Amino acid sequence: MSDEAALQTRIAAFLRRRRDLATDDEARRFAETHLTGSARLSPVEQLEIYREQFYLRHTASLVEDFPGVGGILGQADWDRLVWDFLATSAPTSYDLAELGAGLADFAGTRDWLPERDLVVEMARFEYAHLEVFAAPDSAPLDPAKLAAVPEDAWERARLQPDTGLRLLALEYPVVELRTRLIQARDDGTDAPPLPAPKRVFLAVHRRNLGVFHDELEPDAFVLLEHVARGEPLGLACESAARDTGVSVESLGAKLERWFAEWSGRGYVVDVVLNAT
Amino acid sequence: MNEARRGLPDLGIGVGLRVPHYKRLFAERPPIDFVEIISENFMAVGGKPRHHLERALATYRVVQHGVSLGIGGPEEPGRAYLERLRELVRQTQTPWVSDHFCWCGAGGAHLHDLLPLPFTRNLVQTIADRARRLEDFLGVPFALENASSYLTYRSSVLAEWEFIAEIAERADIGILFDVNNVFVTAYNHGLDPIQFVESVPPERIVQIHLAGHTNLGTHIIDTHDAHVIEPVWDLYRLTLERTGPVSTLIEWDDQIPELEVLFAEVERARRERDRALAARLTGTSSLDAPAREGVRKAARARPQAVAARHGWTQGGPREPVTSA
Repeated sequence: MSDEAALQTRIAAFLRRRRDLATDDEARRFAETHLTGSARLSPVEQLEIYREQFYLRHTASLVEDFPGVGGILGQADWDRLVWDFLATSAPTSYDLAELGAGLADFAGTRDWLPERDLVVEMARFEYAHLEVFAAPDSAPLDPAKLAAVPEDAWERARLQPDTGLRLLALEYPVVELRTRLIQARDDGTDAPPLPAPKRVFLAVHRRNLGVFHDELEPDAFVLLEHVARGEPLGLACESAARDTGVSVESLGAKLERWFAEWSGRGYVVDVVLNAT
Repeated sequence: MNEARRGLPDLGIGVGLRVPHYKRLFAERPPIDFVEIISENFMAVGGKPRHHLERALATYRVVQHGVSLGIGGPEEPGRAYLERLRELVRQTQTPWVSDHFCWCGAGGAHLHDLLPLPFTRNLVQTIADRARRLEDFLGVPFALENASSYLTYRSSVLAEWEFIAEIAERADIGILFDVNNVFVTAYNHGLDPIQFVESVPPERIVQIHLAGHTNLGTHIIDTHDAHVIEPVWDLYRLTLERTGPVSTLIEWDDQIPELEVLFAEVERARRERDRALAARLTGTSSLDAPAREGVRKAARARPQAVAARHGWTQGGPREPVTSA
């Protein structure tokens, strides 16, 4: 490693420290050794400018991306969570929208976190918004291609999911809660009471440039998960029947309606028939 | 290489394409010489960013500027990032592409900042090699911008202007000359801003950036959140008197004002540019000795009132996720 690279690597580590570097003896010694300071600032004060900007920039980005998580936690616990997160999990992507990719998993490991299960689920839900928002565009399902599928080929057909689709099975009603938390934040009113657990099955999906969150029937959700994993339709129905305890025949009876809904909303963008 | 602007066109006075202005820009289509996009804001492949990029390309001449390359960092720029950047270059047909003399992270961490470089001969070679390869890879002229800085290294052996000039010469690339950054850096490190401007090879300058900043008394942060200050206008004219006409961009990334305010800044830039080019034609300068000393003095002064600290992001706010 060159001298410059070694210097940069040490600076990068200092910039992710939580506390003011001016109060950090190691940082002060490092800065005095490697930085010049100026007529107005000491070397460590110069370094601290970048550390402060690192936190201001990244916490502002996370505030924007996770208003629901922030609303659940309140300022003090939110600050503690995101500062711990940034100090522990270095950003690795040039894209700030990916900054919170690991926030849900990280929150799940924080024993001190109040409402931890709800926070984790809200973080998953909010990050799904970011993922689908700028996901690659897909051409809509071609009706002519659909009509050309022979009746006896559907069982082995694979349905291609839209890249802008995320499926989330959650234990809390996060959609309504998030809406109310943002409203309370914008109005400057007290945060709403937190809800009791309630299982919800969501499709977070981008269409018409907006992000939608559609609640799905439980068995439709399970089937769509198997479809999205690339299983041929016949096998996906068997897998869903096994997972839900609902018969294949019962699922099959609803399939036409579900398929119309999925294709209408753009969850499914292609039908592939090369499966054996 | 003596050809002005490396033979690249003078596009006039442009503005940074920023989210709060999308609605009016795409509805009213006011005439703008060119718009500059932050490459990273449009490297996502779908959704609203792509949609808005297509609208911008249909309406305006688009120039690309990046903030994440980190060309002077410990690691080579990532292959996936470069490939996506090249795809975007092909899509926008940008006449040139630029980034900064800086590093952005180390050990796999990306700190989303334009971190200052030690001005060493080793880094001159490293960056020149990388820049040359990058220009070949992207297939369009490449330029690097002098970044604002808040610290300086004991290991630096070159002045910043020497560092910039040597890399540009060795790599045969352009310089995106940020005149506000010259003032910010001069203020922060006690440098002479006039000497900085007069030491950069003018024929290498392919674009100029202008912006406002936040003066915290002890130092200036390059926040792009205010009007260009008078000493920076002076430096702008001085630069143009050396270069001749060069594409100029007004950057406004935080506390973003209404378009009318931005366009008034464009018109001010046009007047300053006309004045500088007229002086150039007659072989004179719009900055006499007292005016030059005034700029130097401003870079040494401490302001009476200082601004509050706040964070900001290069390129302004990201596109908001619209939920339905």
